[in-house]
Amino acid sequence: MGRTVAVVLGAGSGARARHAVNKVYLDLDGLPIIARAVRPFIAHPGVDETYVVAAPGELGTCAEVLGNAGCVVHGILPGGATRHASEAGAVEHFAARIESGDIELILIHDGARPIYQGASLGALLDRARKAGGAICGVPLKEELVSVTDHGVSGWRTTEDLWCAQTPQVFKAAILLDAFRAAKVAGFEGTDTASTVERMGLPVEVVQGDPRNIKITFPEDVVLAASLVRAPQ
Amino acid sequence: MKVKSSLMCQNCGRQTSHELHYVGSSLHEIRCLQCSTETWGHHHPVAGYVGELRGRIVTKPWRVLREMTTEPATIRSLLQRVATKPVRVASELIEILR
Repeated sequence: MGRTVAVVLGAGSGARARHAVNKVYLDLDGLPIIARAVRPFIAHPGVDETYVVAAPGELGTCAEVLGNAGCVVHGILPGGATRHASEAGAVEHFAARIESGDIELILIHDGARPIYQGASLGALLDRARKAGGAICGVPLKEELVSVTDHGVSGWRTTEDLWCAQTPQVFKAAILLDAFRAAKVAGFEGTDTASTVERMGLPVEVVQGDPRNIKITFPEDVVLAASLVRAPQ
Repeated sequence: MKVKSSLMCQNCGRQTSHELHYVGSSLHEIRCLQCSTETWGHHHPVAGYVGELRGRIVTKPWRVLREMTTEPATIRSLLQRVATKPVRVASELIEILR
């Protein structure tokens, strides 16, 4: 059985004001968001190595932030211009080790998901080992409506709709093939699973945690700060 | 402490620069620098700060001990930090009460 490598994406995107910090370095109740995102994988016995992808200009900052938070990772890799480019770059970084069979599974996690604490990680790794790929997800709770200029035009059935979360785990060889095929086709996936799924490969879903939110809006920062303080 | 970061603004409908206002390590307020929409964190900053300060005082001996064992060179700055601590705590309090 080969090794399992966790890759936490912290390169971020979007225009930044001068003196602005990447949201993954924001403090959340005394600990940076990226450190909270990395910790479950460093601590989990099923994960052998943990890497962080940082923006090329923030490699030093990332190392300093993680070091100050007591998070020891195996390496910090430079990210790309988009999430897809960061993922592809990270997977290609391990290409030789994947092809030699040294790395069996690759886990991808958003650096902006600080609440995840490793729940279902064992099941996720098992399912990925058997099926080839597995992601965390939660059933969609909200009702969806179609909206036009004239208002609501119809209701959408949501019974089979889930919200995809991270971590997402894949057999490393499948991931390498998927990203290489995407590059040839000029495909840009919104997340790792979409890049694998377009090749017609099965991706299983493991029940995730609704609290595993991604920091996107200001309200998310406030909610996440409350969640880290709440008893688990 | 105030920090700028890029977040998605519901009102502007795009990623904009936001200013996050921390009191100690508690998030007090986030403001969009484009449309000035405010998102409130801790509604009772004084109560939150007092609770946090209590935690900082209780864990201080352990934190100093850990620092001295892992980074002995920081002992040199300890006296200066002790001397300036009242001023730093006072400035945090002034920021909350403002």
